[in-house]
Amino acid sequence: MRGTGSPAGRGAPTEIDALLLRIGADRDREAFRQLAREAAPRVRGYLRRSSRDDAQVDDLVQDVMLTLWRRAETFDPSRASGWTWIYTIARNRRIDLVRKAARADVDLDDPALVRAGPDAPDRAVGRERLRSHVRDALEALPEAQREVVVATYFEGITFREAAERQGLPVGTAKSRMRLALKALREVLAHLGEGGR
Amino acid sequence: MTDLPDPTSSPSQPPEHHLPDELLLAYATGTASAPIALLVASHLTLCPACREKAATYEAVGGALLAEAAIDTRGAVDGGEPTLDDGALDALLARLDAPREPEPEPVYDPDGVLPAPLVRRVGAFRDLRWRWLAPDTHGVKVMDRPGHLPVRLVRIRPGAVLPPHDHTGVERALILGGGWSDEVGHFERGDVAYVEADRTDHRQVILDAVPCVALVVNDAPLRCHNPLMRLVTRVLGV
Repeated sequence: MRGTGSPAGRGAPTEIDALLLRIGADRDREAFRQLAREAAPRVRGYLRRSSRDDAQVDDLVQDVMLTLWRRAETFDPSRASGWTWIYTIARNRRIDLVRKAARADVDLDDPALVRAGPDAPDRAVGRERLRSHVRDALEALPEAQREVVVATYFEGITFREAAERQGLPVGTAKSRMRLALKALREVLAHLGEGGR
Repeated sequence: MTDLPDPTSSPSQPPEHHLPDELLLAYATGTASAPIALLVASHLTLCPACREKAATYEAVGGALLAEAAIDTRGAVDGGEPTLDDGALDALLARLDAPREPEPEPVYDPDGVLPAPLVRRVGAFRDLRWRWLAPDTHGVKVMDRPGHLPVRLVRIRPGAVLPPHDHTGVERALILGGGWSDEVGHFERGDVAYVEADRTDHRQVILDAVPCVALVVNDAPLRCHNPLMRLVTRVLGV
């Protein structure tokens, strides 16, 4: 953490972060009730983009919510924001559904893990500040690029498939994705600069 | 075990050769195929820079989730409403249901294989290597319908691999030892990305310890030497 000097400098945790921390610390059912009201509709919105089977989607939403309850004590706001953590859990459930093979996840406790040097900037802050700007960044993209990005995240298809659906040649799709990612990263880099 | 590549012999330096953004994005969005996800997760274990990038792409997913609009009926972006009081009560009733304990994480006792690989093939020291080609042994990691299987390969230190052409993209993650070719030196944590049309690829294996690499190949290699070509065709290397 640079320039801020204290954990409080990470910025006030969002409401979702606070709810997850309460659940993790105290098994707080009221916090879970609030979390469910916020998160379940969004998780459902995310999952239903890649499945037409409503009953299956409902099961997955319940499953994701139960996972949030059970694993809340492993939530670490210095690694990822609450929404990012929820996103990764929902994404993983979707992968489990699609893929028979075991998922391949990085394990941050792996003794083989190579850590960033002590001088590496802590980007968790800038990364998460991205959140309030991602809408702007996406809206700033040309529509075709934006569609490819959103489809890639929410519909469980690769950007190649997203591009094919739009009738684009793979080469064009690739350059669009590159441009879109570059634009998103530039927003992020900009935020990182401003944040330190 | 004498031919264990010792990851501590070169202190764990961050790698120099990275994964293309396209694959990091595919991993973060959950659209990567199982072999690519395995390759990415293994590289991320060894590469703080790519880990940071992947975390950024995941944060974009988190942001998209957070920014989704929920209307007063609890529906997202005009869709069907979800989680009425009944559904919420049903969910709350399940919170304390007994469940199976989560599996313990498994790690490589010698620190050679990243955890995502250990979950597939076990500890490095227990691998059962099979002869693949001169100087080269392999262990199948994952079948890939329509493609070559994903493999771990182990190549003799100092070996000079026969010149070959690539007919499909090859992605290799170095886990021990290393090699050099026209592009540069590749050592632990580095990803060697060989384009599909690469011809006359000549690799020299670094001295001292065997080269161990995770290899995801889209199509067979084509050796210049006709005998080697026969061998690789038979073996499907």
